[in-house]
Parts: sequence; C-alpha cells; structure tokens
Amino acid sequence: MPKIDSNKKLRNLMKKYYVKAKLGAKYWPFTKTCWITSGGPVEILIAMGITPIYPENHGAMIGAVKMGVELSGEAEKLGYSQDLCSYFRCDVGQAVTQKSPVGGLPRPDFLLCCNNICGTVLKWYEVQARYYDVPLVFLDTPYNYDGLNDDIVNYVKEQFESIIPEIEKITGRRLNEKKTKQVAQYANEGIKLWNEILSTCENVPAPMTCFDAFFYLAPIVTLRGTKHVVEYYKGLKKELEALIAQGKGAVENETYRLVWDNLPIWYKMRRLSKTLASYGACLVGDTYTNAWADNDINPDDPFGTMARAYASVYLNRNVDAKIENFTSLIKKYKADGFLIHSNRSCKPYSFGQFDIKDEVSRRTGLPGLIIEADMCDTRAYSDEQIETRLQAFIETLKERKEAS
Amino acid sequence: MNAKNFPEIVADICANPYEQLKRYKAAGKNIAGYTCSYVPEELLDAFGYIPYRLLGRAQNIRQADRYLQTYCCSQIRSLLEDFINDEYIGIDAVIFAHTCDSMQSFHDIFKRNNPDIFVKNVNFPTSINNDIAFRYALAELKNFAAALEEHTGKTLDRDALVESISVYNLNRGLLDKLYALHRSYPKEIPGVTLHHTVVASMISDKRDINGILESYLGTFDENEPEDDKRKRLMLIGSINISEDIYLLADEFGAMIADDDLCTGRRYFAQQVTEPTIEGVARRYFSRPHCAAKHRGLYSREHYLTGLAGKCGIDGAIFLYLKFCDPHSFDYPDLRKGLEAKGIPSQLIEIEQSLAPSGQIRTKLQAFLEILE
Amino acid sequence: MITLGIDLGSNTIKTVVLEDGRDVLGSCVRKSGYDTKIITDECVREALSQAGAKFDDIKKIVATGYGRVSCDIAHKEISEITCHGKGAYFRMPEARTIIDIGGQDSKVISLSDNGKVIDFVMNDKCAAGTGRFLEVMATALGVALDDFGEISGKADKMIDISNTCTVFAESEVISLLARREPVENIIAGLHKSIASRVLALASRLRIQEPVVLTGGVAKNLGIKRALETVGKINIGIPVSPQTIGALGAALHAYALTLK
Repeated sequence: MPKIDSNKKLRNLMKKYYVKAKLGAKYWPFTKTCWITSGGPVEILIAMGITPIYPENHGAMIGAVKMGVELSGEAEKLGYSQDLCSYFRCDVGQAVTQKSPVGGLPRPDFLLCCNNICGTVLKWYEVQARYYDVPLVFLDTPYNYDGLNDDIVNYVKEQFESIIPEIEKITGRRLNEKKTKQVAQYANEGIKLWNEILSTCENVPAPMTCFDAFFYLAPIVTLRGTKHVVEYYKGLKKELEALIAQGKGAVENETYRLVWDNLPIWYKMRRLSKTLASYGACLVGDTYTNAWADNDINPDDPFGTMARAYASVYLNRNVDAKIENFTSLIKKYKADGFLIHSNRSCKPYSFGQFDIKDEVSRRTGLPGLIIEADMCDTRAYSDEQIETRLQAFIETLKERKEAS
Repeated sequence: MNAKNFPEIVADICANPYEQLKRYKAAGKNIAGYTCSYVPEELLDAFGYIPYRLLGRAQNIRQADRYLQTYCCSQIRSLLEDFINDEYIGIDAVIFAHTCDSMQSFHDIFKRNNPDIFVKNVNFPTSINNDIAFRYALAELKNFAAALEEHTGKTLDRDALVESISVYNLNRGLLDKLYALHRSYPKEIPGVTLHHTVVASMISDKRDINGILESYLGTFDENEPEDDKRKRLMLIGSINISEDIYLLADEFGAMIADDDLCTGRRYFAQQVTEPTIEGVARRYFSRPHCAAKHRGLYSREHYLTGLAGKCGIDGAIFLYLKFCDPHSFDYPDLRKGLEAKGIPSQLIEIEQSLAPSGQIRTKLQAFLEILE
Repeated sequence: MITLGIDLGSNTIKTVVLEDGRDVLGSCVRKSGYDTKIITDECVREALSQAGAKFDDIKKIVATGYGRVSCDIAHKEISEITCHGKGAYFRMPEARTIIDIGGQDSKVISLSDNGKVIDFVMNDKCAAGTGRFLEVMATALGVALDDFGEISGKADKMIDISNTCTVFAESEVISLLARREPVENIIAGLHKSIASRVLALASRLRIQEPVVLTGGVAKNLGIKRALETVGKINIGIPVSPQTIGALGAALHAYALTLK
C-alpha cells in the first residue's frame, strides 16, 4: 500500500461513519437506519437523511480480520448450510452475537434490497427482516439475459415510484426533489472520481494495486451521494497523481501486470499481496471495484436514469457482456495476464468463469489462472494449493516475456 | 392401454425419458426443452411444441466440469452432462425462466455453447406479489410469444391457446385428484406413482397422459377409502427425480401425503382461470411459489403450515438438493415455523450425481420411529 | 428370556446377547470383512458362547446399522439412531445428548427424560467430522489410528487445522509434517477439527448435558478431550461404548417379545 495520507483519512472516515451510525441508532431517537445491498439505490436514503448500513461492507471487514469462520459458525448452528454465501453467514453471526470489528451493526428500521448483484441478497434480507421483525423494501431488477430492454427499465422505474412512498411511510420522512438532485450530483461526481482513481493504474508502474483499491472502495459503496466521498476521492486522486509524477510504483520492479476478477479474498489480502509483489506482479485492475465506476445519473431525471443504471450494473449483465468488459479492462490496463477468483460464496459472479477465461484468453492472447477460494471463509482456502498455482502461473508469464 | 396398468406406464416413461423424446421426434413433433416450472408451457404447446421438462439425470459428471464449478447444484451439472452426452439430440428449443443465480448463469453458458439450438429465457420477475410486477410479467410473456412467433414464423392462434390451456388445466386437475386419492388409497396408489405421474406429465404431450390418467382415477370409489393409519409425510424442496424417498416411505409403512416440490405439487397447483396470456401470467402470481421468488416474508411458511394442516401431516421432510441456495436459505425458519405448529421435520440432503446413501434410509427410518 | 442385537456398521459388526431386557450375557465386536454374513455368524456365535446360550434360545433378533437390511436372521430392523438412544439410556439413564462418531456417519441425538429420541442430526455428505476423516489422516501421517488417543495425550497444543475439507486437510497435514510440527500436536489438532465439526452439528439441536459419547471412536480419549475442550462440556462414556447400538437393538428385541 502506498504511504499516503489517504489511508489514514479513510480509516477515520469509515470509523466516523460506523460510530455515528451506531451511536445515532442507539441514542438519537430520530435516527432512521436502513440496511442496504451494495448494488442498492443509496441515493434515495442519503437524500432522505436515512443512515445507510452495508452488511456486505461489514462482511468484508469481518473477513479481513479473520472472524469469518467464527461468525459463520453461529449461522451454521442455526441450520444455515456452509454452502451459503459467507457474507450472509457472517451477517447472521454478527446479529446473534454482536461481535465484529465494530461490535456488530446497528439495528435496522427497515431493509432495502436490490437483486441486481444476485438473488442471494433477497433471501438474505428476507431472513434478516424476519429476525429483526422490520419491513423489507425490495427493488426487483431483472437480469439482462438479452441485454437491457424498455420493459425492464419501465418495471424498475415504476418500482422506484412505489418504493419511495413505501420508505416515506416507514420512516415518516419526505423525499424532496432539490435534495435528490444534489445527491445525484454528488453521486455522479464521486463515481467519476472513482473511475479516475482506478484509471491511475493505467500508468506503468501503477501507483497502487487492486489490494489498495479494494480498501479505497468503501466510500463509493457506502457513502455515495455525499460530499465526504467527493472530498475524500479528490485527495486520494491528488496523492496518486503525485506518486505517478515521482515515478513511484506500488510494486517494486513491476514486471507483470495482472487483472483480477471477482471479490477479494479478504483474509488473504496481505499474504497474496506480498506473494505477488515478491514476483514483481501487480494487480492493476479488476472487475469488482470497476462495478462502481460507471453509473451515470441525470439529476434532471434521477429515477429514469437510476432505473437504467441500477438494472444494468456489471453483475446484472450476461456472461457475454462480462467477457466484453473483462477484455476491455485487460486492454485498458495493458495487462500481461489475469487472475480469476472462483468464489464459492458468489455463484452468479463465478459461474461462467470457465467460458470467460477461455474467451478472454482467445481475444487477448493472454494467459489466465483460476483459483478456487471464498471471500470470507478460510476453510475453503488452501495456502499450499493456491501458492503453488500462482508460482507456476508466474513462471509461464516469465517464459512468455523472455520469449518475446 | 389398460387403466389398471397406469402405474407401470408412467413408471416406464420416467425410467426412459430419452426414449420418450425420441418417440415424439420420430412422430415428427417439435420439442421444446424447458428447465423450470415458471416456463409457460401452454404458450409452447399453442405454438405446436411439446414442452419437455429437462431434468438432469447423468450420474457421473465429468465433462460438465469444463463449464461449471463443482459448487453448482447437481441438477444443473447433470443436465449439462446429459447435453454433452447427446442425450437430448433432436431437441428444437431450450427455454429457461428466471429463478435462481445458478440457473441464470447456466442459461448464459448454455446459450454460448449451443449456437444451433433456439435458446430463450422468459425473464419472469422475482416479485410475484404486486401489480407492477404483474404488468412486467405480462409484458415479458408477450415478449416470449413474440420471440416464438419470430422463430417459428407462425402467429399465436387464440383458439390454439384456449385449447392448450384447457388441456393443461385438465392435467392439473387430474394430478390434484391423484394426490387426493393417494391419501385415501395409499396401498393401491403407491406414493411413487404420484412422482411418476408428475414427471411423466412433464415430459409428455398432456393429451397422451390425460386420458389414461382419467380412466385410472375412475377405477377408485371415493366413498370407500382404505382403512389405513399410516404416518403422513410431506416433502419440501426444489427438484427431486429420485424414487427412493417414495419407495422407502412405502417400505416403512408411511405415506407421502403431499409435497411442496418443483417436481410435485408446485408444478400443477392452481388452474389458469382465464384462457389468455393474462390468465397464464396470473396463475404464477397465485400458485405456491419457489423459494427463488418473493411474495412477502412469510408466504411459504403460511402456505406450508396450511397445507400440512389440510392434509393431516405428521412430519415434514426437507429434501435439500445440495447447493440449492434459495431453499437452503428458507430451511431454518420454515423448520421453526412448522415446529411451532407441532410438525417435526428432518433435513435430507440429496445429490443428483450420487447414488443414494444408506443415510437416507437411516434418517427416514429414525424419523418415523420418533413419530411412532 | 434371551434376545439378540446385531449392529452392522460400516467398519465393524457388533453383537449383544441380553437376558430379560436387563443383563448383558455376552457381546462381540469384529471388523467387517468382505463377507458380512460369515462375520456376523461368527460374531453371533461368540456372543452366544460367552452367554452360554444356543441360537435356538434366542426369542427375538433385531438388526441395526448400515447392513441391517441385508441381515436375514433378524425379525426386525431398527435405525441406529433409535438403537443408540435406547442403548445409551439403558447404560446411563441421565444422558440427554448422545454423540456418535461412526465410520461414515456422525450423529447427535437428543433424548427426553424417559429416554425417547426427540430429534437427531447427521453429518452432510462430506467426510469431515466422521471416522473416515481420521482414517485418511492416519494414512497421511503413517500412524495407526488405534494409537491416535495415546499419542495425542502427549500434545502440548492443538494445532489449528484450518481446512475441513478432507482433501485440503490432508495436504495441510502433510505440509505441517514438512514443517516438522510434532505429530502429537497435529493429531490433537485433527481431534479438535473433528470435535468442532461434530459440535457444530450438535448445536443445531439444543444440547443438554449430560452428553455421552458412543461408538468405536469413544475408545480414542483424544476425541473425548477435544470435545470437552472445544465444547466446554463434560462427556461421559458408557461401559463398552462400541456395543451401545447392538445393545439398543437387543433391548428393542426384548420389547418385541412383550408385545
């Protein structure tokens, strides 16, 4: 990780966010707290002054501090299968025990679920809505099997028109148009900055790796639509640009540039980052953090454009579209190869990866490696197995470099 | 065909599903394979296809591993293996419907790798409890009809649709009656015949099944039920294509009195009450739903406790197809909900690609010993 | 009156000869070989000779265990869940939870105050948490499974085996050996792993103490220690834990004679 002020700032920003959310929910009676999925329309909540909480972000934190197995175990005790998403299992575990790096999440007043990232979140939120006995607001965004069509966009837009009164009724808050416009503007600005931040890795050597991007991602997911995100990302972007100007790369002697697919393996971030760095390999781009880099909301037609944007996020597009996207990332970042995380916890992100690997290799002429793991559950990970594969993969990259 | 032989006839169809396909093919029919009970069969039927439910049967999954990870459910992996093994040669179309994450990915993989087959997904909404979703569902069924029109070059004939719907409604009514009669005549109508009849209906032209099923049912006198005090079980789950649980229940003197399976009551529950596309769409909004669909927080629990009460269920068996996430998510709360109504349950894990283990026998037997 | 219980497990066959539903007169445990029938016969003969009884003296026979269906001398077959419940309750009437770690299956059973099975759970289709897991690891370590209990008694710590998947855990064990971790600590770690897995299963029921451990694995004191440490519970072991299932079957056979 580059030694820059933004790291500390982010820790403070996220700490402040969680402390405020927790204290507010506990001691400030007017606080309204909503748990929302990572692909959900948080702009509405921000505009209504409702505190958004992201169990997925929290799951990542749990994974990163290696509490995944302990908290999953609590869910498994209740009869939830070990084959279910580990974010879900961790979330059930933290709800039951109030254990986590931030001492558990604040109790929700309602849940807002959007299934544009998976069908799993809907089942997860159903379970939690029953557990907390709170309403579940559901935004159904049909998968783009044959691309996005008007029927899907109309369906999602009409739902926006119905869930807003639903949320107003639950919270007693009103959504005002002016505020919505402002939030949409901040959201756009944040997304644009995030895109530019990720694009700094087009530079050779890259000023940061994806392991850093996974960390810097938190604000655009959790606080999108606020001024804080815009300010924070402006600072981060400046620092990364300064690193580029100094010619500093995140990985010493950057030799191999790789693109990553799927969620991070949160509990192995440090070890994998070290292992890769020891080979001079740098993760310069990934499909995961880029998923938050391309929404575009028109402040004059926020719901129409949000319907379109939310219905067509990366994970809601078909395998052919994923191939296109992955290929263009590889080209954009001038990569030498790619790593695919086959994530037992995330079926819609992972099934299709064999086709993706073959086709992306065919189109780019570059080798890829699939490693099977899980984002939070260390029981599905084998150091020996993965590191042997990585080493062998780097050896093939080396041979290719030497041959050319 | 003799009505008395009906159980053997349907057993035979189930045991030789690929032969059934070949027979229809040889008779010059067009076959549309479909993967899910949310595919509107009546529309396919009205366009002259025989809808043929695709159920993965391959026991040894090898080649499918090239396309799908092992943590995908065995139904999908077996089905893909069947296709790679050319078991479905001659199939003219493969129709998906939106349900779970795995099926969604499978659609994409299948379509990419089978450019010669007409592959279409009915992008059914996940919500099935509000008017907005209904309007979308209707639009999507119309899109599907339009895609069929384009592909076949035919236009949707209203009379044909009316006829298809009435054939399907008849089949549903007969299956419902079969379940009811089984509860009165558990010896004469063994549980496995229920399973065979549902699966045979799924892979046959309903016109071929309805007649003999109707005559078979006519041989029972509803007023003279067998005097039988069997323990009544209910199966809950997604897809089950194994006879084992039915045969074991019979062997232990218990009865599978009803079910909530995709290969059971969910397939035939509710009639289409209006012979139009709207009517077809409407049925999906009222019939018991799959765990991958959303109709509020307690809809499945209420439905299941209601069904259990209606059928006098003593115990429930959750048939959990390994890696079937939607059903797996629902299990702990459903178990609790049933328990609160005094209905104990057991979870039995099943996998398509594995021969049934002795564990199923032990679990079912022990469960029945507890119910005694 | 004499009754006989036969437990045809995946690894061993057990028999118990019971008098008047009260006194165990004879019992036998044999490794099951390729011909179950011959070994069953031997096992029955051995238990009968201890009891000083003849085959014709037996009033009823009940079979349990995986091979119960193919046992043609039995009058009835009963699941091993019910048999373990009956047998454990007979030996230790205070028992409320039974843990049985078998070769292919592990099970946890809750008993009511009067010894009736209330509920039970079994492992899923995965070797983790069963005797099979330990067998694989014994081969990987080159240590006889029977010595596991004694060796692990010398351990100064239980190494964390992070993988529950048998294949992954095997490679983990091999790399632990390569790092020269003491074998006793690895074995203690394996016991911990299996104990965690079984306790996770148990927690789906409401675990009530006293908890008893039955089955062949109960002879391995390392497992008992691991269950006690991980679960923070006391584990009781009945007399002759391996024949509890056969005993339950013999008890059931006695109940049949009273009908």
